[in-house]
Amino acid sequence: MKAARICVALIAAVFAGFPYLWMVSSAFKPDAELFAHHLVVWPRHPTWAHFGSALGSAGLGTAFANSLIVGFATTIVTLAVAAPAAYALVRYRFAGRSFFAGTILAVQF
Amino acid sequence: MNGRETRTALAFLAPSLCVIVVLLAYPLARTLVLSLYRYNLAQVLGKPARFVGLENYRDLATSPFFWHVVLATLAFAGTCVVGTLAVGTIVALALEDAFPGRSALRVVVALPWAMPAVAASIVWKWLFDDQHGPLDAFLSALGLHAFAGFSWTANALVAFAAVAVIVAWQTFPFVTITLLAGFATLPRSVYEAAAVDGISDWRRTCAITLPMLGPLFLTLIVLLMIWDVKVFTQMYVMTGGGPGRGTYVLGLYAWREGFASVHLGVAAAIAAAMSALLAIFVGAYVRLARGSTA
Repeated sequence: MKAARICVALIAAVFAGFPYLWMVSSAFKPDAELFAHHLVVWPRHPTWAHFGSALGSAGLGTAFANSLIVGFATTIVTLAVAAPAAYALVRYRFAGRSFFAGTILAVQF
Repeated sequence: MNGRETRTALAFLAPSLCVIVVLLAYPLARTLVLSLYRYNLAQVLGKPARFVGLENYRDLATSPFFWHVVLATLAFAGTCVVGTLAVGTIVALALEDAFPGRSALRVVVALPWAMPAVAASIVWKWLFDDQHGPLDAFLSALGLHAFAGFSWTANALVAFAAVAVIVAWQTFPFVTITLLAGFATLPRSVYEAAAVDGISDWRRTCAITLPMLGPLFLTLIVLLMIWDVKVFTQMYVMTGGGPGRGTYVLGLYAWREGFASVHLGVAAAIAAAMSALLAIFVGAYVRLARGSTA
């Protein structure tokens, strides 16, 4: 039984992890290996070229900076708006309390 | 409870109410209004919009294709929910008891949940690729030669199945993590009593663990249903709705009508219909969530 559990867990790990592995290994493959007729699992001539073009012509640097700005701003605004609401819902008993709680829960979708 | 307390509470709630009204209620109301108008390319370019009442809804209700998409969306979402729950539950049970390396496997299994949907869809599109993808190569290497150069997006049913795999891959870690947390909340005494009675592992799982987590499963089903009815990203990246309009789901349909065909009124009506459909599941979720916390 224990062996079966470990087996299932390992299969699940391969299922979950393989796309990551493929993503990383493909990032290092030169074009000839990416589009090779036979399958190349692990790059034979690893290259940083794709990272160079991602940072350069594809503008990864700008996109990354934008993500950070949006992420930080969203976190701060969300906390500033949500924390008082949470406090009010927990600390006070008032008319319409469960209506507000339900609304907040419903609009998360 | 008195007036002062109510006023204080409302003051604390005011910012979030503003956010809900500005970012949710207003766009929703605009969508509903828009769904009553004919608003096509000419109107986008400045012609006055024409009020048509419920015409957009009537056109949808009498369109066999619309009902086909509604059914396809529900069937696809249902399949995804069943698949995700099955995989998530089996993996959670496999990781329930300690064994060497379990904590490392828990991390690996949680990884798909951390990948953005667009990135995951692009990686999977590559895995499923009929010319350079590893999946076809692997299957044909196993001796299944029918899969050499097999296109996963040429047939609508096969494409739906492929996208369901992507959705299940992304969401099963959520089920697994939730259930592992659920296992930890079950009372030890029940397990001790069962151990005294000499219960088998199998019986312990089927007769104690899973039944006691019934309410948690119910919440998971409703949550997954909400997410999967809303599916857009994976379908958009993987099939774009194709072949033809074979893998349209409601979100994609609304998007196509609105931003490819520029029938914004029709798109708004589809979005409204989709919201009404989702409201059923969201209502169920709010009830369940309140029941477990209040």
